Amino acid sequence: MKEDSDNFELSDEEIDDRKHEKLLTDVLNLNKRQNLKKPSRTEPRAQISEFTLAKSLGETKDLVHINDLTRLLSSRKKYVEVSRKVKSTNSKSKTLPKPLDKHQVERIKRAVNYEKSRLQLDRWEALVTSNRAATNVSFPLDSIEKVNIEEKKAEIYPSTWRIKSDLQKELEKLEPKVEEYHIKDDEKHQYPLTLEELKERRKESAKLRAHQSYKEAKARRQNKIKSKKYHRIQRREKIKESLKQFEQLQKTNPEEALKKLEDIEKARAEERFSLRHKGTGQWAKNKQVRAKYDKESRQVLAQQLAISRDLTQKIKAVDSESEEEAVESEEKDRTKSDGTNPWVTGIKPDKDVIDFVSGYRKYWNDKNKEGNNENSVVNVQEADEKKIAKENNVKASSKNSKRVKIPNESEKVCPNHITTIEQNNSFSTSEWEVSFQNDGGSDIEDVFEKLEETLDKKLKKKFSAIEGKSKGKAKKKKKQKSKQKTISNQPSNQKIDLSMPSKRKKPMVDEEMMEQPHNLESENGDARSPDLIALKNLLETKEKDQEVPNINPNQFIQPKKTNLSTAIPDILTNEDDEEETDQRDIILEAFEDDDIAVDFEKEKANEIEKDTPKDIDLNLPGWGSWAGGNIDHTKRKRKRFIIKMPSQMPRKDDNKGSLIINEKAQAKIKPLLVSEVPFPFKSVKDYEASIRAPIGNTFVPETAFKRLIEPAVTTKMGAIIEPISKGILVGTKKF
Amino acid sequence: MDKEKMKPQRYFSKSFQEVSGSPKSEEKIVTQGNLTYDVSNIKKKPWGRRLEDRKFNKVKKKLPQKSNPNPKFRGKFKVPKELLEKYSKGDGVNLKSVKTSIHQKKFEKKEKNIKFAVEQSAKAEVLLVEDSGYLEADAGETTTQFTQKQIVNSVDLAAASKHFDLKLDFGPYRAKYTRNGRHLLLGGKMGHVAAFDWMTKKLHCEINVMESVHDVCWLHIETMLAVAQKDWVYIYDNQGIELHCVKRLNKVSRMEFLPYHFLLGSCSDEGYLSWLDISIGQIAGQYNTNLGRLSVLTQNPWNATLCVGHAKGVVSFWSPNSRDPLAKMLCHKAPVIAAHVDPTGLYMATSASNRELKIWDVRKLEGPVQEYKLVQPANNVAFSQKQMMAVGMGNVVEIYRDCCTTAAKRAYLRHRFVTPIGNLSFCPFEDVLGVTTARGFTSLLVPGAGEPNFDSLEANPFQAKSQRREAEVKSLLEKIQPELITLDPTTIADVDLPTLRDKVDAKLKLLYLKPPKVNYEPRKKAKGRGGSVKIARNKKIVQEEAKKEFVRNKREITREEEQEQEKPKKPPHVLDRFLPKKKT
Repeated sequence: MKEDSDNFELSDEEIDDRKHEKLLTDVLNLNKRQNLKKPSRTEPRAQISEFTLAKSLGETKDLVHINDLTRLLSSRKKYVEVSRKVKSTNSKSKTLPKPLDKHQVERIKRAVNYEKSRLQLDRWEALVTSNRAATNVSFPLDSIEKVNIEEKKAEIYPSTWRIKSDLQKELEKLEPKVEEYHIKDDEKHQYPLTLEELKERRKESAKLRAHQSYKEAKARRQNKIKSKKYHRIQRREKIKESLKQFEQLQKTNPEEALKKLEDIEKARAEERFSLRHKGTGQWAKNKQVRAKYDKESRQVLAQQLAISRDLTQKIKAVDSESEEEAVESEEKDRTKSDGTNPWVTGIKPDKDVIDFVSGYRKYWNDKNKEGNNENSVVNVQEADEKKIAKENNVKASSKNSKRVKIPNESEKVCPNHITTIEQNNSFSTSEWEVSFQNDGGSDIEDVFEKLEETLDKKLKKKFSAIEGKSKGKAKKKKKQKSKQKTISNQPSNQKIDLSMPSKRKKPMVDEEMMEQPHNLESENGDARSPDLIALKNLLETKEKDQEVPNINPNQFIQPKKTNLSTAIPDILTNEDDEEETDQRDIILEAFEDDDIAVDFEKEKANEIEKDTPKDIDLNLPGWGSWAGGNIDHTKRKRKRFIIKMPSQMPRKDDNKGSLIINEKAQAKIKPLLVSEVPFPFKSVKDYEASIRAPIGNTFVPETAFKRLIEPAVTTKMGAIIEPISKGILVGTKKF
Repeated sequence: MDKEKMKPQRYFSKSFQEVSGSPKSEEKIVTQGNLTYDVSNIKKKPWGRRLEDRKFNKVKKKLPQKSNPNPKFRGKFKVPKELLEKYSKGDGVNLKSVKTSIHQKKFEKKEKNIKFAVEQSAKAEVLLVEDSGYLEADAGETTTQFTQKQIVNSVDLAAASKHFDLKLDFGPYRAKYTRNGRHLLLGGKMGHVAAFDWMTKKLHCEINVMESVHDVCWLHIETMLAVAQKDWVYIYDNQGIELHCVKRLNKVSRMEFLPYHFLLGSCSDEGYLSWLDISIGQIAGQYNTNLGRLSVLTQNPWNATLCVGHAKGVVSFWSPNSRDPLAKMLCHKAPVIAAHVDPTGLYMATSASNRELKIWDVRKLEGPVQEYKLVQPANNVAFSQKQMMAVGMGNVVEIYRDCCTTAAKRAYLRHRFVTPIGNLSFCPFEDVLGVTTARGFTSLLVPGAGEPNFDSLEANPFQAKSQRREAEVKSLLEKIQPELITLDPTTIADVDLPTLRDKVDAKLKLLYLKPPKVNYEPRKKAKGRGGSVKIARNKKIVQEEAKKEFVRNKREITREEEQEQEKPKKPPHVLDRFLPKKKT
């Protein structure tokens, strides 16, 4: 029991403690205010609890104030100074305001940060807008090298020191100076190369070297090639190139050009009289093949050889100067002989010649096709040759001037060429051989020969032109060249209309027609072309449009019926008796208005009626009232069930009497049209205006076309597109 | 005082009130005992983009139009206004009504490009060097009296060679030139078909099809040609090899080829109009016109419609898209016997059996612009590229200049044949008129008939083989679908605003429509959760809902309509009584 009681006591004590605490809290809770323990000074610590601080501020009753302390101090003289200091500090110092709440602090921080980053981002605004609005952006963005274009001020500046004389000023006016600019790339000079640039440069130079060695190897290889054809092609290209160079030289330095021309001439002559191309032509080859069996072809070949020999002898006799003269005299002769028609002797052969040529060509085509069938062809060939002989007797040209054309093997010249030359001297020279060539040749050799010939001609022309310039004879030659193509003189200011009707011209209802076509006649003389008239009409009508928007089309002045006095045909297509037709015509004319016009009107009325939507009658007998015989619905009730259709839109053909336009026919194109106004537009009119102009290269010139289809984004192939750097804002490169 | 005045003014200037006693500054200066700040002059400086803009604008303003320092260099060539007007595409986009500023800038640039294109094409007219001429008569002479012989004698050889005469024996002929004017196709009634390059006189092929030939027509290139024979249309190549026999085109009387659509339009004796798409070999449209035998057919090159002339004096315009004609025009009060539209699509000439010849404005479908009365009815009419008109009557051909805008008084040229004329056609890009007669073909010289400048990308008279191939591929790629054939070819650039009629139609449809059925698929639920009864009920609920919705819509429509009708009227004005009375 005792143990028990002891235990009880212990427990009792415990319970008491708890109870006591509880009691205390309860008592404290009675007072609603929160009472915290007063802070008491304890051990000094680095961190002072903020809670105790805060609460201690509130109670001022029992605190020791600094003033009280100083009051004591002031009594003694020793501490007067101290007390004054304390006082002054006390008066000056204020307590710090209470720190803001956390969310407020953060808000302020955010605002400040926002402002900062706005400033940062706003720097980009200009660039971004320009990039977004640009029609074309090419990436990488900063790859575009910036070049400085500067006026050449340093050179101009000293000249400003001098006062110009009047003469000088006049001279300057006559020949205004072209402003000169030079492009400066500063970056190279300003900055030393970076490592990357060095590497790049080294790589480039290595590439260049590799390329060079490759070219060398190629040249060596090419020199070893033995193919004639290959070299021929090479040579041809060379000739072309030299010609080009020559042209340039001619512009810059005519004297030099003359010299070069002579060189070229010489080289050409040497090439020619070497007669290397004697037996290489198609014709010659064929002859050679056939020569084994055919006597005639052998003869022909022999004659050809003879010709070549003759010609070579002659060409040795001619020197360059006389040749030049020959050219001139030749041309003069031509002009003399064909004063009436420049075409006759020049290029156009007679009809017979054309026939012959076409026959000849046919033969060659056949030849190429068949190949093996030689025997059959020989006959034709013979016939052809005979023809040629005849031709030459009539047509062949003489060599009045001493200049001689060397016929090539490829030229299909007949064997009796020489004889003809000797026979008729009266004709002036003409290059009839050339026209033959143009018809015949399909061989590469021939082509080459042709090319050479044309080059030759070109050179000569140029030569003569240069000479003409130097001697002031240019005018004469121009006259010779002039072509009389058209029959009659015509005003040269006519312009030609190749264009499509470019404007969107719609058959509008209210649009006005060309009024009074008679007025135009009086305004425009006969000399104007119809295009100009049409153009003017267009302009005029437009102006009128603006002035008077609506004109009743019924008020048009109908054009007068003009009786044309046409020729009376002898034969009529509808072979009726004249009397009958006359009668019928009379009858037709008498009744013409009645029949057809009325029918058409009826048709139109029908069509219009068909198109108008009708009111819908939703009446059901017996709905809401009794139905049956003898029962009439009231009009009001009936009306309630009739849905009225809105009034009709004006038809396109409303004001046009003799026209019916089918307005339903557009059903198939409707789904292809845009049915909504797309994004950046607000009105239909603007959207339609944005797609009004065609952009295809069949409609606009190529330069404009390229601009119109420029892609929005272009990227450089192989280049890494890195994100945009700040450097672009300052205009510096990124590294 | 003086010192104060001499001081440079600053935004923040210390000034004592006692010193600055000027009456003007009194208002601006705020006094606060010891310090005064002049606030009025302070401006916030623009920064960032706005600063840049301002700088740019300043520079912009500063740049005046410099007078030309070197009068010798005249600067850029200025295109004359009339030319620009000719090529102009109309007013541009109103930039203010484009939505964002960036899009505004974009469209500004686009407009600039379009302007550049217009200028460029106006400038390119310099390249059109060739001029067309015409015959000019001396005093006391008329051009009509010049015979072909005289013309041929007085022109150069090249031009003279374009006059020739073919005597052929297979009945009345028909002829057609290719689009580039280089090749000629002849078809004789008695089966003779020949194609050749008429300038070099090189024959492509010459065959006898052993059937009656009613019409011939080149297809898109000169290697294919269509021949309307007794029963069907056959297609041959330029070697005379039969490629196709189109049996669906039955008893065809006339054919027209629409080059941009690759359509071979034809009309038949039985009143059928049909379009054969030759690129895919299918019929694009075949309709019975119900107007009897058709024998007058021509195309309007501007909008690719077919114009058919009828015995009732009507010319109807057809597209393959509709069973009914797009438009009908009463041109004459007698049967139409010939019609032709000029190559620019401006004018149409029709002639009737009552000896009338009228010229119409075919773009607006109005007219007649000119009316002529002939001595004999014209069986054939043809326009040249320069708007000369050839009229064939019996065995006489007359050619008129300037007959559309002004009333022509006298024929420009006249030629008389021995036999009646089959058909006429001007050769494109040449001063040549090809006339077929019952006994052959004659090509007449008509100075000033053809367009002297050709667009080689469009129709090239000197087309090489490779160019032809390329052009064929390109034109196939650019082929226009037959759906786009309308009276106004620019409709494709329009916005399809639903017309009133369509709205009405839609409403009507809605009125008569049944409420849509709702396919309700109930979710599969676990066993015991949703019974079949429940499912059925749900289904019913959903369907009812849909039905109610539909009915509500319908009611709204009708209500709207009523509201539209009952618009609040304005209070009547005193002077309204003088207005014309409205018809009800």
